Amino acid sequence: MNNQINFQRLLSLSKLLFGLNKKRMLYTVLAALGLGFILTILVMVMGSIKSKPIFEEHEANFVFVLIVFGSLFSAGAFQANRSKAGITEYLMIPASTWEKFISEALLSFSFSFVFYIVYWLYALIINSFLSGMVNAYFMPFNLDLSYYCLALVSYVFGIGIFQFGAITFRQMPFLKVLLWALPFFAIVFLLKTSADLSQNSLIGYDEYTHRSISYTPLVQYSTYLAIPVGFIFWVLTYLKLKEKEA
Amino acid sequence: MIEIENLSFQYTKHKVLFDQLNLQLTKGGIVGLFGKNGAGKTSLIKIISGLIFPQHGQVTVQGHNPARRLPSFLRNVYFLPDEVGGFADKISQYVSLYSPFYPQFNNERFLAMLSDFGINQTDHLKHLSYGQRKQFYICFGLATNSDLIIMDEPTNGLDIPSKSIFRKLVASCMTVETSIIISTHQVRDLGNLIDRVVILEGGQIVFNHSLDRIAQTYDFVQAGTDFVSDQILYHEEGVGQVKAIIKSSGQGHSKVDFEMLFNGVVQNPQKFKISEHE
Repeated sequence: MNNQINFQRLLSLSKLLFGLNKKRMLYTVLAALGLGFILTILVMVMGSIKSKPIFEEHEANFVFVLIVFGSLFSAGAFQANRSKAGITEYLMIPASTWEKFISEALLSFSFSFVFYIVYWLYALIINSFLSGMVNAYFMPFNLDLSYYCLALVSYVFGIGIFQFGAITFRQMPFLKVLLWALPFFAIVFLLKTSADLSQNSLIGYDEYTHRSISYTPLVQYSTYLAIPVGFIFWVLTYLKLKEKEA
Repeated sequence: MIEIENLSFQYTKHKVLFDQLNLQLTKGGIVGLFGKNGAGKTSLIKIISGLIFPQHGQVTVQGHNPARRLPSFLRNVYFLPDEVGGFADKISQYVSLYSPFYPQFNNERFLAMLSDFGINQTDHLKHLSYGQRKQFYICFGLATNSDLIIMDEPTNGLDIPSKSIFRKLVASCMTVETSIIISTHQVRDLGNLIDRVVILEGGQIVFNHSLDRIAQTYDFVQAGTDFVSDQILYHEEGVGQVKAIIKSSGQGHSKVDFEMLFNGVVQNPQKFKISEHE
């Protein structure tokens, strides 16, 4: 059976992929952290302008940066596909298509996990050091991200689009995916904007975090859209890998 | 070991590479797959390895359909491409990451072969020249102890001493279980290494015979320019001499000249058809 999954082989394949991608992961995490820091400063400055010197955006920043850099990292999956020699070597690795598919997905998810830990540490440091230096109060990074659960679930499915781009396009998969997905993103953006403008977006208020919940049903549905669309792309990624030729 | 029946393959609608190609190869020995540039040697070995899929026909390699890319098939087949990559930093890293997939990998033999080529296992793959990278992949492929090793133009990029070491290493790795297919257009590089000659021309296998059979059937002679025989199948004129392939007289075997045989078969395959009673 081509679909067989052997734990030992999966482990060896994951080890191989991690070994070949560790530098890329490190650089992407560092770049993501850089953007996270810039966002922290920007939000702080904007908060000061609004006379609201409270920084409470760690989770929102984390989710935003994760989506941007997680997509970028996922688009870099199937590194072997960047060259003819690479894809030949990769396809000849004695592992099933399922094992190759799962190990690449695990690599992308491990980026999210690594970034989660690193961002939590970053938030801890920011809170400890900057609280006394600037006129702002830093809300701690909440380890329970259930508030952003929907966004994170959408992310898990959504990166399937970039994973598909990585196995489909040999050069610049991230940019090519963006180009191809531009009409789709434009529709989602228009839906979101029109929903925000035409309806009262304040539909809830979280007493504990003092945050407004701004999901309108339409906005919520458009976020949900990433789940089936992403799922389809995960399936397409598997099929594309199975049919890949060198 | 390899059975190909009615294989059809084309990259584009208007360029048919193989049409109803048939090939049978038995287990063991070294097969030299020869063909001109663009004859389809690389495509054929890629189909055998499961790297590309045929449009029609049946391909069976060691009892498997290569297109399914089963791990049980892939761990017994090593494919050395003409163009080699190299994503790992160090040779030792590559070996530690890739060798677990090959249960019969022999690290001691690998290091010994590497040292024959003068490569150190602490070397960085990216710092090696193309030829040295090729040498590294040859060593790794032979050390996997795979039942079937397929090499595409393995001597490309190798210097003259390395070609000799390559022949020595390949010969030393042969067991009754091992089969090696070497695809090349540099016929001379293989010397006396091969046991069987397969020639691909015009999308068909036009010649597929063992070395013994070739030696029994043909004589490879060198004579003066006045040499005349009604048994000449192919000849090449040189300075003051003629090299020719003639039907064997049955009086001893001459050394097979692969280059001349290849040229002769490609020029007129019909002349080199060996019937069963021959």
